[in-house]
Formats: sequence, structure tokens, C-alpha cells
Amino acid sequence: MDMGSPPLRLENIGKRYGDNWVLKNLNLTFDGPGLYAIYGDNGSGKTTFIKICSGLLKPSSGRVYVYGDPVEYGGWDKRLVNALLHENVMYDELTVRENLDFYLGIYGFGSLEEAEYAYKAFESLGLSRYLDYRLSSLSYGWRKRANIVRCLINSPKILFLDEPTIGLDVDATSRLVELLSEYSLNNLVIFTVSDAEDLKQFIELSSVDVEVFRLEDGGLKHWRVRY
Amino acid sequence: MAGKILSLIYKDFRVELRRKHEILASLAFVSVASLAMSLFAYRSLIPEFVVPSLWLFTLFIGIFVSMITFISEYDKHTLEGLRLLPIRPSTIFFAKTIYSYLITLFESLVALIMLSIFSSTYILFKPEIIVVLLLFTLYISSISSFTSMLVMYSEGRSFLIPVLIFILSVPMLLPLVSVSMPMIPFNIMDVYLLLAGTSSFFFVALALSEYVLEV
Repeated sequence: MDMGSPPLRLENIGKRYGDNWVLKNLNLTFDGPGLYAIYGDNGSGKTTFIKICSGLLKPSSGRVYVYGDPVEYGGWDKRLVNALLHENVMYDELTVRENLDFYLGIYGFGSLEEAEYAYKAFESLGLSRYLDYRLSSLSYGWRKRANIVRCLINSPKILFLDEPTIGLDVDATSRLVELLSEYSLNNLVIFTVSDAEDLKQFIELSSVDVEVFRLEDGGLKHWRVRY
Repeated sequence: MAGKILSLIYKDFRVELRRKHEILASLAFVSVASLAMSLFAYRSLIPEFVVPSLWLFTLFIGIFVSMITFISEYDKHTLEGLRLLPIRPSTIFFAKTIYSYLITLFESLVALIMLSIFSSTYILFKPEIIVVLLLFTLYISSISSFTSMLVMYSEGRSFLIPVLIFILSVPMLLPLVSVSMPMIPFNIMDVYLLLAGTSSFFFVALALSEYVLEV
């Protein structure tokens, strides 16, 4: 790991499902902290992009580098990255507290207070009132809030979020954008969005510049440089 | 690393205890099947019949447990949460195998007790049978976890799991047969064979897990 290298570099990334290339020859470097949006229609490859960059999916071609290390077996430090996926990846049978305790324990934290941003998100998103509820008894939006807290536990240098505002109410969306804006001052935050109105709302609520890329026909283009 | 393994096992038990009905379903199977096999052993005046029945139950419990390890995590997307964590795939596999072992052993012991009570015979409490049971359940747990990890992405996994578990258990049948037959004197070499087979398979599966679970 070389902290002098760009946090994230994509080199000729391609992904094929059958004969269909969802992503084609993506070459992109994220040089430093910031808030980036990947905007694209349904099926344009946003989730595939997030999963490849976070090491959950193997690209059909090319390589992803995190701080100079290739995202492949044994070659990179997973502590630097985390992701909010579209699906709930926490355990429905456990309570919010039990789930968070499990993830905190794996990262070596004794309590949520020790995980600075996760605790901030926990407080800001009002999750304390459902701390002892099983995840299965919560609505999609509240499960999503729990997952947002989970993905901040390790204070990742690179944070990926797949459609983070879907399922959240206006208040939670506003708090999340505020939190991510602050977080992006020192870390790289990349989120996906498929709805133009959601993107516009996100940009309006954000206190920092959002750089937007358009994912279309397997390629990633600068759509708008800065807002 | 030990702390991470314990956290994973503790989490699995918590999740499983909350589900309840899945463990109860397999316990119900063990109870009913034990009763049926015991009645046969009792009425046919062949009490030794309970011994192969116990191995058969362990095999079936292994198939059941394979469904609640990696496959369940994959279906519920929680495996992606685990793969995002800084844990080596072999650590996850190790924890799952220990968890499988504890469940399989618990249910096999329930089967042992029920078979003994229903058939009014205590052959199953012979030390050599207990030792072989401890090793065979570990072997079955290893192949059960490995199979679960290997076929979780496949649509045909319901068919593949029993087939693979039966095939992989064949090499260990020889020591089981000899310990089950009253006319064959017990040979300690069978225990060593079982121990060697179990540990070899476990370590090979542990090494291979790095490539199955990782990108």
C-alpha cells in the first residue's frame, strides 16, 4: 500500500455478462478525497461498477488499484474500503445492536463510540430508537440506515454507496448528504444514482462540490464537472 | 484471528437460534428416523443395526447443515457483508466448519441417545463408537462446509449437495464399516485412518477456500 498513490485507479475495466459488455474499457483515476456521483439508467452497470471497485466482483478485463495495490486475492487492504450495497447485508435475525456489535468486533472496536463516523451517522440518522429491534422487523428505510452505519464503522478511505438515498425519507436524505459531504473532505466517496431528480436533490443538499460521471453504453463520461 | 473466528461462530449460533424452526426440523427428522430404525433393530433382534443408522443420520445432518452455512449467507446477501470485512476467506471457512461441527455433533448425539433408548441397546456408547463419531462428524462437517461454499452459486445446488457429500464421504466408509460390524474385531488403525482422512481433507479445503470465496 502506497498512501502517495491515487486512492482509486481503474485500468481498462470491462465486465461481460454472456455476450453483453456492461462495462467497457473504463480508465479513470480518482486522485484524492471528494464526492463523486455515478449517474446512469437502470441496467447501465452502476452496481457492477461498485461491486468491482469494492472487490466483490471480478472484472472480465482490467484491474482496479486501491492506493497502488491491485484489488485481487491477498493483494490489498480491505480496511481502506467499504460499501453500501443495494441489498441489506446485515442479519435479519439479529437486532441492530447485535449486528453492529458483530461488525465492530471484527474491526477491533469495543463500542460504537470508538468508530467516529459510524457513531455520528448512528446519532444523525436517529437509529438509537430501533437499537434493540430485529432487522427483520424494520422497514427498508431503517434497514438502510443501519447499513449506512455499518459501512462507516472502519472509517474507510474509500466509500462506495449504491443508490444511498433510495428508501430514505426527506429528513434522512438530507442528514445523509450532510454527513457524506463532511466525510468526503478527507475521504473518497463515490455514490451511484439513477434518477435525475435524486441527483439534483443530492447536489442541492450537499455542502461540497459533486463531480458527476455519466455511465452509458458501458463507458464513463464526465457529465458535469462541478456544481 | 481467534477473536474473529469466535465472533463468526457466535454470530452464526445467534442467527440460528433465532430461526429455530430449521434446527427443529432436523431434530424432528432425527427423532422420527431414530424411532423407525430402532424399532427395526429391536424387532429383528439385530441391535447392531443402530450403528450404521447413526452414520447415516450424521450424513443426512451434514446435508442439512450445508444448507444453513454458506448457501444461507449467499441467499440472504450477508455473504457480501462478510466479504467486505478484512477477514481471510480461510478464516470464514474455518469458523463455518467449527459451527457445522458443533451442530452436527449435537444432532448426532441426540440421534445416538434416541437410538439407544428406543432400541434398548447401549452398543452406541462403546468408546470406539464415540471416538469414531467425533471424527466422522468432523469429516462430514468439513465436506458439508466445503460443498456449501463450492455450490452456493449454482442453480442445481439442491441436487449437487447430496451427490457431492455422498461421493466425498465414500473414502471414510471403510473404517465405519469395520467399527460397525460385531464380527470384525476393532482395529485402532481404522481410527488413525479416519483421523488422517479428516485432517487431510480439512486442510486441503481450508487452503482451497482462499480461492473459492475471494475475487
